[in-house]
Amino acid sequence: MSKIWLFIDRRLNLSPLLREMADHRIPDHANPLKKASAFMYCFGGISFLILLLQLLTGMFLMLYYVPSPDHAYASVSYIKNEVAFGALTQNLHRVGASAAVVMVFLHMLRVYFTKSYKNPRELNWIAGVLLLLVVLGFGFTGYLLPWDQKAYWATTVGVNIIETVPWLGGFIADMLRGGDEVGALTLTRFFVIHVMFLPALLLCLLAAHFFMVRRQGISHPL
Amino acid sequence: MQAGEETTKQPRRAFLAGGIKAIAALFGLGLGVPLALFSFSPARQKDRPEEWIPIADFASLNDHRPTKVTYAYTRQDGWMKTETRRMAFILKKDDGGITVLSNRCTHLGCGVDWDATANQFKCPCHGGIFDLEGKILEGPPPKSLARFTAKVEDGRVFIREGQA
Amino acid sequence: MRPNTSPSHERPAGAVPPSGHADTRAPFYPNHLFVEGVVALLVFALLVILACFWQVPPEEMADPSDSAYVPRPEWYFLFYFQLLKYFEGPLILVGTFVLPLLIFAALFLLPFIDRSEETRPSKRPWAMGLGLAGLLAVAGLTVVSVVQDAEHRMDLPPITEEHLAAGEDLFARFCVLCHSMNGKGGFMAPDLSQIGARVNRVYIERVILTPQIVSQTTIMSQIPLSDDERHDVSAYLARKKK
Repeated sequence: MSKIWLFIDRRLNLSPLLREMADHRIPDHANPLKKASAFMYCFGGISFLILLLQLLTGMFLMLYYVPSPDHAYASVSYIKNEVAFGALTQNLHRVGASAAVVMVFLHMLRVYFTKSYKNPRELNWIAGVLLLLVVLGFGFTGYLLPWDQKAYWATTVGVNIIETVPWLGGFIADMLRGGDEVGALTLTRFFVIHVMFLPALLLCLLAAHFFMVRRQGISHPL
Repeated sequence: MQAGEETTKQPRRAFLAGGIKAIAALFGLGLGVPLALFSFSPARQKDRPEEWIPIADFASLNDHRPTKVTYAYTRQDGWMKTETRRMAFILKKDDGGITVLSNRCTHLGCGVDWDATANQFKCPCHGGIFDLEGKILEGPPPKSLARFTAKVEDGRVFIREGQA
Repeated sequence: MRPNTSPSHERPAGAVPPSGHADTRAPFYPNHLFVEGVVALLVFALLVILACFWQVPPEEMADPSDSAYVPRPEWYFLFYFQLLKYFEGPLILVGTFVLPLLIFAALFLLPFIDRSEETRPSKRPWAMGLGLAGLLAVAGLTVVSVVQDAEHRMDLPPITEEHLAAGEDLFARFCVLCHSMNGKGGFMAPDLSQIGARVNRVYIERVILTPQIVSQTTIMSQIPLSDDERHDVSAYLARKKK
């Protein structure tokens, strides 16, 4: 193990990076062992953890899920009723979605009320708002995928809301639905947005978010 | 923190580092085991339906050479039932019984066909050759063609899904 | 990851506190990562427990012809759903366009609008006030939505084959005395062969409970059905669509 590591390290010189990562200091106001109120500074990390779990459970659910009106409902029932740990994995993904929204929201509240968005962290706040939009986008597109009554009708209503927006609304709604009604084309679109476009966007934004935190350090206390 | 201070804290450091490893292991187990079972689950379900599938009329079978039949049956395929079409060769034995051979080459699963001039089954992929009874004669296949559990009833030939 | 802890690698200069006195802040590895790991495990355990116990009842497959279905978004969109109820007619634009645009524009531009260096909450009355007002609005609208739904909702069990069969039996025992179904039954009351195409299941439930909601002068009497029996009959009738 250590030989492999030495082989890699001699060529890529990674240990200074790890050293720096390992040794960087956590300010006391963000360390829950030193200050009770520091629990607020965990929300971002917990959001990240939940998003990772969502990526993981989502990838595995895709082993069985089929994004087609003929098969979506049956394949989800199959996951829930036939596959080992299927009900748990599926429900973990559903519960995780709610938890992600809650934690991202709490994280945002912490940043808002401690005014961590102020100079020089404006850009990271903007990345954060974009991440909130991405997480809500995950929730909206994921809701359609089980192709049950709730999915169909909530998506119909949701897209109709977008349709009321002047000028661009009708165009965006038709683009989302792939036509003027929620159907097979909507389902494949939402699926691909949910499992490819949004995750790609999410990972880019998270990378930027973390890069900025490491460059700028954790914001000062009140 | 000075170097001396660091050494006095070594046991604590080691404990925490060990704790991190333990946590990583717990995550690995807690996620890895259920997700692995989740992934393997359908592949481990081997319960095929105990049904006889009709594949041909006995009267239509050739004498002294295999009869190629295609048959269809409904198969539980994950979340859906699919109409599946397969091929088999039926051989009438001298005692009035039958042998039903799978057309899948035992080498890598290509479909073998009956070569009437050579009186052999030939695999188009890697040159496997089998005799009338499905026994391996030449080429890379490791064993003879698989035989289905078969029966004749009311003038019809039936097989069981899955090989004998 | 295997952070190198061998003594030959001393920490880079940047991590050493400037004046030489000890930095008491915890290092990321192993101290902080350990804490984060424990928190992560707790959160994971909590999620698994939630996933085991917080189940939602199974839904039927999407049916675009079923106008009886009462759609609701996921709970975290409920506040917005409720908000839209208050904007009638052309005002809907306020709810679907103007407000979201304003709110997200304000969020994106927040660091540039609120530029003072002051971070203490007591010195930020506007930010604190707006933040709290926003929180209260979201919480309030969510609660109102849940409460309103609870008032209007009937918890109808999902329709299964057994329910349909039981409903058919009950219909044959009570309803056919007056109502007809596919040409069989009484003539005193309307034919119900295609009732499911005209009204939804909740309405059928209401009529069985209180026949007078159809008309003050109806001759229909209250039928002595238990709740379960009524659900069976409503299921049976709601499926009579052709």
